[in-house]
Amino acid sequence: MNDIVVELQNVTKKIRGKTLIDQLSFQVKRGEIYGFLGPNGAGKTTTIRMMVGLMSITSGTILIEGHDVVKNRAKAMAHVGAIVENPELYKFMTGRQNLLHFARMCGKDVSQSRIDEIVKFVELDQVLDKKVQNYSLGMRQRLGIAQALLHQPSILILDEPTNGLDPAGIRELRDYLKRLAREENISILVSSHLLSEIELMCDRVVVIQNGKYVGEQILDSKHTEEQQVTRSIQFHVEQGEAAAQSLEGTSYQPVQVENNVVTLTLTRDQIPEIVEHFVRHHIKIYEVRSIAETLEDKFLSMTKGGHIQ
Amino acid sequence: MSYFTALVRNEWMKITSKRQLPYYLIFLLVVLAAAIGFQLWFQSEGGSEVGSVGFTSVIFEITSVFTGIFSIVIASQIITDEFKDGTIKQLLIRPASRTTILMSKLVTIMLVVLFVNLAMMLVTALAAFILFDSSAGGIHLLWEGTILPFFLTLPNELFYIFVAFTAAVLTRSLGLSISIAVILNSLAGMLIMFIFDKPWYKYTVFPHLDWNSYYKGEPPIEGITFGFSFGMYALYMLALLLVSILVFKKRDIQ
Repeated sequence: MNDIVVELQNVTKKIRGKTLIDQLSFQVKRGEIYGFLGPNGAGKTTTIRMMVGLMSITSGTILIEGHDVVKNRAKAMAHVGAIVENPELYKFMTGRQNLLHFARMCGKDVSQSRIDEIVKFVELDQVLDKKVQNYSLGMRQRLGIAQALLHQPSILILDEPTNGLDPAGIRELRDYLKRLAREENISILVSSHLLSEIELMCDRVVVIQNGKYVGEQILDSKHTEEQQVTRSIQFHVEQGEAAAQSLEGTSYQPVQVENNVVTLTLTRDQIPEIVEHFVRHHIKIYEVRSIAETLEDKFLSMTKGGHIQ
Repeated sequence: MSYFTALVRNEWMKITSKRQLPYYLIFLLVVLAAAIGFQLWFQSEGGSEVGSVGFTSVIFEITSVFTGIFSIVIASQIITDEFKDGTIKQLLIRPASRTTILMSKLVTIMLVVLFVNLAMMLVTALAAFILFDSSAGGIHLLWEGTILPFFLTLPNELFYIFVAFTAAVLTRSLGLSISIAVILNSLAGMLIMFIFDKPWYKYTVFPHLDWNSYYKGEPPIEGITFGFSFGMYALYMLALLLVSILVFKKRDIQ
């Protein structure tokens, strides 16, 4: 099996001469949660609609499991589960009827045991025979995910999935998605304009603005633990100036000295060396703090201060 | 079960899960009950008795007019409701092509129209044969008086269903597509008055909708054959179908 599940190659969308998406390319790997981040109006929804065949593509190619979504639609869509904006369901039918409806549509046989399994996974077994109009938004969201997963897709596409959910619902959804990616090895593409949300659930994130690719960022915490990565370390000491002076003549130079806080750029291994150095020079250390650059800082620098919410 | 059959079963499930169809069937039964009640009261007051075949034919003729309008409503709704509820997105992100989706909906409407009409015909005939005088004749008269005329007016009903369906695809508005089909249907008679003597009248769809006239041996326009009418009818139906498919295929779903 190929390691790349979704691939966009120079995708462009123009409507009446206006370029909404401009030469956008990115790849989603198997089993990762991939964030799709951008300010409102950046073109996230438009891109997702092209990926699932709701909108035509002006130029460029979108491949899902190697199948072109335009030329080989049926094969490509057989691997896709999606919720575009709200979880649109037939409110006048029961949860079970809705699942039956989408099971029949997915182009391959979905066994009863698969339906039972999914229903248990999203914890809807108690209300499955009630009409969807009586469901809470959280329940609808879960039923939406259930219908998207029936046919065991290799990519789950979620457009702003936490819209309208309360904090508890958002947390619940996040836990579901993480479990999904881990247990079923499904790739998940989540679009959002909310940084905090993406930061908490994604392994990797792509940022777009005005329909253009801005940058990609790995968020997975294990990468930041790597030995060679440098980061800003703050040393809260009794006398900042004295501490800075003690460093003169060494290979370490403070980036900033302010309010008795000395900031240095160090690798992980260098931190104990500095501590030892200060102790030898009888400089009292009250606190050592690692200042990681937040996604927000990166996002703002990538989009050059473009507004975010 | 083929994929297309599965799609038709889906559409059938959706139509039967909405309230409209059961309520409409109840409405038809109320109409039938009222007609039976009135006839029984009329007879008890000394009025003349009615034959069961005649009763069936009259009642079915009335209810099939209602069903004609009802079928225009569901032919519009089967499209517009998906847009209204946003579920159209759910339909179109599946392996099925847009044309297949559209065809499954059209087939389902035709099945519903057949089902409602035939069920009504059966129930009316059964009630009539139990309650009223059947000495005048049996099943073969039912064929002449009710079943055959129904199948010969079906092309007319289907045309307005196609109009409503195409209008629904074009406008995505329930009110607008029902109005277009109903207004065209009710104004057709008047329109024909104005244009029936024009040389191009035979190229409009209107004279070719009434197949009963051929059965009676009087073609709607002198000198034209059933083959010509059939061809013209097929042409108009195909044009409507093509327009709806092309528009539906090209549309970006917002």
